[in-house]
Amino acid sequence: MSFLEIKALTKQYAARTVVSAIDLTLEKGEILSLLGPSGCGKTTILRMIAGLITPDSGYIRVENRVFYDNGRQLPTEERELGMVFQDLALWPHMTVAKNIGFGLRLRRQPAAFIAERVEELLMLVNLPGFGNRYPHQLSGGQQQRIAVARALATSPRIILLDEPLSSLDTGLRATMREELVQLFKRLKITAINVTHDQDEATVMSDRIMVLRDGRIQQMGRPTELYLEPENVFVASFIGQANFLQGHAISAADSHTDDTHTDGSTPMIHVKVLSTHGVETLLTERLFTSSVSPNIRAHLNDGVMLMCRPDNVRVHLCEPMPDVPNVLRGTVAHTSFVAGRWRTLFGVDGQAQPVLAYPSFSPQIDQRVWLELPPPDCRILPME
Amino acid sequence: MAATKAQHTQPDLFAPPAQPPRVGRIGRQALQLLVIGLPIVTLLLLIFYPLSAIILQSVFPNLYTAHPDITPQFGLIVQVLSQKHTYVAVFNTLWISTITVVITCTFGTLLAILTERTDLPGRRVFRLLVWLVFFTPSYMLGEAWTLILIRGSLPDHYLHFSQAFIQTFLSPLGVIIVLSLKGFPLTYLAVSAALQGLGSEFEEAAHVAGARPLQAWLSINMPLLLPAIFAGGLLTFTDSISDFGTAATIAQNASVPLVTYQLYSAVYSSPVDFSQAATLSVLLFVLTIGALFLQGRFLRSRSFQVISGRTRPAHRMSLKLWKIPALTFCVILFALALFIPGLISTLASFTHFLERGLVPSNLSLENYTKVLQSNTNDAVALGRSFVLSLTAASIASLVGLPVAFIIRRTNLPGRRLLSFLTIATVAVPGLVLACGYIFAWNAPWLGAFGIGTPNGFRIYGTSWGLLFVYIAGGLPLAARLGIGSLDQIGQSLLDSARVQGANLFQLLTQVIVPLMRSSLLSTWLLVFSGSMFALATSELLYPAGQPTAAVAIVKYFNDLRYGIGMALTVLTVIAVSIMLLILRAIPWIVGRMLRQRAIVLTTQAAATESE
Repeated sequence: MSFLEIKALTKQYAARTVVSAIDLTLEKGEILSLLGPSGCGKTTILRMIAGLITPDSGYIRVENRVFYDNGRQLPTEERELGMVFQDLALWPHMTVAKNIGFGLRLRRQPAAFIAERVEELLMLVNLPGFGNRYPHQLSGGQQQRIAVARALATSPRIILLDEPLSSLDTGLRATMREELVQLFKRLKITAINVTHDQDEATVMSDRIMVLRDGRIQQMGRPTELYLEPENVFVASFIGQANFLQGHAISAADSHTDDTHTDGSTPMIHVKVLSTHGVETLLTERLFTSSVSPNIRAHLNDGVMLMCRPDNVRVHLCEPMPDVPNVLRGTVAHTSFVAGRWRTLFGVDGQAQPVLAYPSFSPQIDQRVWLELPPPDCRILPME
Repeated sequence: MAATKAQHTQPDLFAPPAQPPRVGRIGRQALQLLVIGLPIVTLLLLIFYPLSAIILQSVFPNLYTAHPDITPQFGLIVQVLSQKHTYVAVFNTLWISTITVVITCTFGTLLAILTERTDLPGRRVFRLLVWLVFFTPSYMLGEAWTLILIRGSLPDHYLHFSQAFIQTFLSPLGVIIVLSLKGFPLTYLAVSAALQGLGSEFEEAAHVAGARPLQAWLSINMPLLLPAIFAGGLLTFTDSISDFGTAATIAQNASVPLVTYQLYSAVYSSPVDFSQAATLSVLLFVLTIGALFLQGRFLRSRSFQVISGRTRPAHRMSLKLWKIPALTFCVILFALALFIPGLISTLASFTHFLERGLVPSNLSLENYTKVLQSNTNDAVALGRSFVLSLTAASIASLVGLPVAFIIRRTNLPGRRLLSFLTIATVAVPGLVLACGYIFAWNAPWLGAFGIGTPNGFRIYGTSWGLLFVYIAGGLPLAARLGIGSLDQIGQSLLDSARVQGANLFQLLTQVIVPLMRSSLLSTWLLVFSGSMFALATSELLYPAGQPTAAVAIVKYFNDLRYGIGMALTVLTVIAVSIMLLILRAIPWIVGRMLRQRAIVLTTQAAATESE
């Protein structure tokens, strides 16, 4: 039996469905991130788990306690959860020690026990001796840690994090997410983290659930989502991606001499449409396991050929004719970011530029050849 | 072996602590029911039931008799309204209040602009003085000005007023002047709040386009302020039409009949004219609700949103040559509203006979000693008012908070009705509410519940009735102010407490009340001072032989015993002022002590860490 189980969780506001039949399981000690743009329903899911919003239908269970079952709801205060809020929600009229010990006082723990527990937690978040300060006397990062300590104080079944790092500056955010994930792993904490920051989701999570308009787009390990996205939305939300629009056709229809065919491996070609009406044939060499079932079923439908910018090879000289997936392009824009040249290439016959990181210093209007190696390409359904 | 520090770096934080038994589900639900149910029942019994009694009495005049009869008699309403003294009173009330609104809007807006947007010297003092005027009850102002301008008054002793001058004041003009002096703070507060949110960027855009400062103000800022001016004006209108203090003092002396005094007379006539009392109550209630409804509709339809994320604080205009005239205006306004009445009232409190003037032989503390002697009715009246007001303020503040919480932070069915009730009743004239109590708590059928019977629990005619009406007067205000304060508390602060395990009672007592303590104290003070100075409700409901301070004061004036009446007035004001100081000083002192303790402990901890 999984640690957390959610089945067919749904929520509507007026005529709009914000969460649509979500299914989810989580194992003990796992960290899951709910990732998606604003309005995708991720915070609503989190708040339904916390009991702060009542679902319209569905089922939520954590360990042996049913939180919600189609109308029957366990009150929030009985769910034994911990939660870190986006604005941290540290009570300004209580000291740090009182903030952390609040849940324990409600459970009528002895004062000595509470004091000892508070000190242990302050040590854990590297803020020993801060118990007598008030929240307004702390920095943003310190407040963040106190909010985490408070969430841990009552030994909750699950920790829920609602964009806890969004109010921090970029540098501090990067530091804090490393600290958080180390802390959670050390303590074997089960957590669900809501974020719109894909870097944060990737760093902190064992699995990521990508949401859009209240529906799950894909769920899996960060590497899976990055290397094997199931649709254009996931591919563009996790990392950067280049897309070429075209039609998927079988090898038999391509009228080319395919030298890459591995007899036991099916080949799918993509006929990429150009803006000038000239069709360019690109090939993709795929293994069956990585092909989306809906692509295989609609080979003549429109598809998007995706290739990550890191995998695009930029040539100053025209490659040999037998090199597949080559496009001619021109340097449109370039900038030196984080130690490499982030360059946009205008591609002949294509409206959308291609993003790549050439190993040389590109010049504007420089003519190049762009190679999209077949093993690094992926076919995705057209949106 | 003693545990080392290293062994504590990875505590087993996920070993759940031993869980003592928590309040069972039934206990929790009972507590929630109490926290939610008690305020609702209080609101229904103390406000809704008496108000509905008035409305029913006006239509079913025999409903509250020994043999209740539900035959409607609408003809009685028409009969009452067509009586000459009734429609004269209604006409006077409406036109006097309308002119009052024009004056208060002008003065209040001008004062707000001067204090919020110019370099007027002493503007902080003027802001404070506005609050003093706001808290001063109208009957005190009315009595003070009557005392100033009657034949034989202290000023008359020295200035020798002409009869024409005195007659000019003891007329509708005098009523308008007193109502305007009392009412301008309402418009001032509405407009100054709007000005605080109005940035300079709108004027600056007009200046860049070529407008002179006055042009920019008239064409840009004034239209933006119209909703606030209109809102303040409507509040002044409802305050004026329902004012009893002015009606009972200067209007009486000027022989200007007003609806509120007609209502009072109907109750105190012999026999009691219940039909007239009920009809006039309903009329006042409808006028008040209508004005509030109009205000709400107007504010909702005109979205003059002036506060945006880009609003910058406004710069102050330099008055230059207008500084002296502006200062003169403010000084004259507060002189008329506060200083002169206050000074004359205080001086009168030390005199034996007004007409003898301020000669040493006429001055003494005799009036004060008479009041303060513990065996006199006055000291008892003051003490009675104090205890009742203290109790009413405490209960109203405590009950008002859950009402506000239910309206603002729950999804309970009926919360919209509750919200409407608190809005509709916040401006209900005290006189109307008191009239409702007469009908509601004298109903014969209450005897079946042991209420109103000789051996049962009596409300009307006892201090309980007075206490309940004071609570009823303060409860809607406490609820509305509580809503305003609750809106300032982030929802996440409440959610985090719930996630930590707090039930409704714990949420209210450990999170909400501490966060709202400043506004709760202000609410308490508002209800306390309102009850201490309450005249209309006290006049109708005080137990025989047990007057409140306000009733005793007005009786002294009616008996032309001005000196002792003013002494009691001054002592009542001192009692309220002492309570204000105590409530403001204690939190400041406690807060300071806590902050210093936190600094000391933090410093000690830092020193220990560095060692």
